[in-house]
Amino acid sequence: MSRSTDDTDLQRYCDGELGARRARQVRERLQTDPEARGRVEALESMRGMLQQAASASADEADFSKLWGRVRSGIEREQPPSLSERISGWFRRWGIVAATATAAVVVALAVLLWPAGVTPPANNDAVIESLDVGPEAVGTIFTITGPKETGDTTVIWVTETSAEGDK
Amino acid sequence: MSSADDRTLVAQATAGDQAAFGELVTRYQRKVYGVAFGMLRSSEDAMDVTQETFIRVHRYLGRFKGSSSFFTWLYRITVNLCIDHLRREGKAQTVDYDDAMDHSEQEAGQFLPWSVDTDPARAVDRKELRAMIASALETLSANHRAVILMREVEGLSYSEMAEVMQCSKGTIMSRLFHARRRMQTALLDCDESQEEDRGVTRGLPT
Repeated sequence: MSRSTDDTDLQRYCDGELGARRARQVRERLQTDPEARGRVEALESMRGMLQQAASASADEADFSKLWGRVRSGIEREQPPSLSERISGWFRRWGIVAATATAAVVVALAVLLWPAGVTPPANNDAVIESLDVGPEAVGTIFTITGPKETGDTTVIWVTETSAEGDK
Repeated sequence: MSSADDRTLVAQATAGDQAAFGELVTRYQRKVYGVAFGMLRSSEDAMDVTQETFIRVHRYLGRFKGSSSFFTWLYRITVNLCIDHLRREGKAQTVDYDDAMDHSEQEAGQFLPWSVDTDPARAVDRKELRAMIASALETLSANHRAVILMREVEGLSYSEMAEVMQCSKGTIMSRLFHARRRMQTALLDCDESQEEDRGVTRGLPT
């Protein structure tokens, strides 16, 4: 048997990758061949060292924040919904500007509603809650319109206080 | 935990169950970190790669068909991210001349009949051991580091490693052989230089 075949067999033996018959032959040989036994022991020793070093490194690692970081990364990857985008806008520009914008949208919706167009049935409106921060309650109404005018979106914001809604 | 349990968690996570995905993260974070740390030798980089690995796993959960086990898929993402990281840092040496069995080199260098910790009087402490392992791993290419860590630390079979590295079992055996041989040589050099520092003279067993 050549040395390369020999070492390949010893490696496969150490890794549990030899068939039962061949593994038995290697085991028998190791009982009578101290040189081969030394090489197997060296491989096993190195395995032990690598495992100890890996275990020590992992013991020192702090995984307590990992899940939070992963979750944030996942959330960053997902495109924000319409309500999230509007919420962000509200947070950025403040409640006053947001309320004013909502009022303008409502006024435009009333003023520009075309005459003769049949209003949609009540159950055509989609209502979503809107997170505008702790100082207000927000609601988005999406009213399905006819083909000529398309849908109308109304954002309604009510400021609140500790005692209740204003 | 069996792979069937992994599959259940993967199915739940794919359906949007964040708690199930959190369970997968908890289950595999040490293993992913272990491979990443072994390859990158930096705890900060290893943690970043661990985080990125799980984000990618989540992103591609829908593509996981279950034809391979979850952990081989997970390791594939981890190893690829580590290799990318090493490439960006200019430290990657991934193309190995020995991907095919090179018998002439094997003739020249067999596994060494050497063990660093068989003598309790010489047993290295944990810190010293880690420093030796770190410098020995530094001498390996990224592919060699990956196979030796997956085999020796994580206990993956040749077939599983071939799946992770997307190569043949023969290539895995060859990489593993050379990786071990180089690790032994590097550990031996390291051990000898430490002994010289201590003023100890010791011959290798023959």
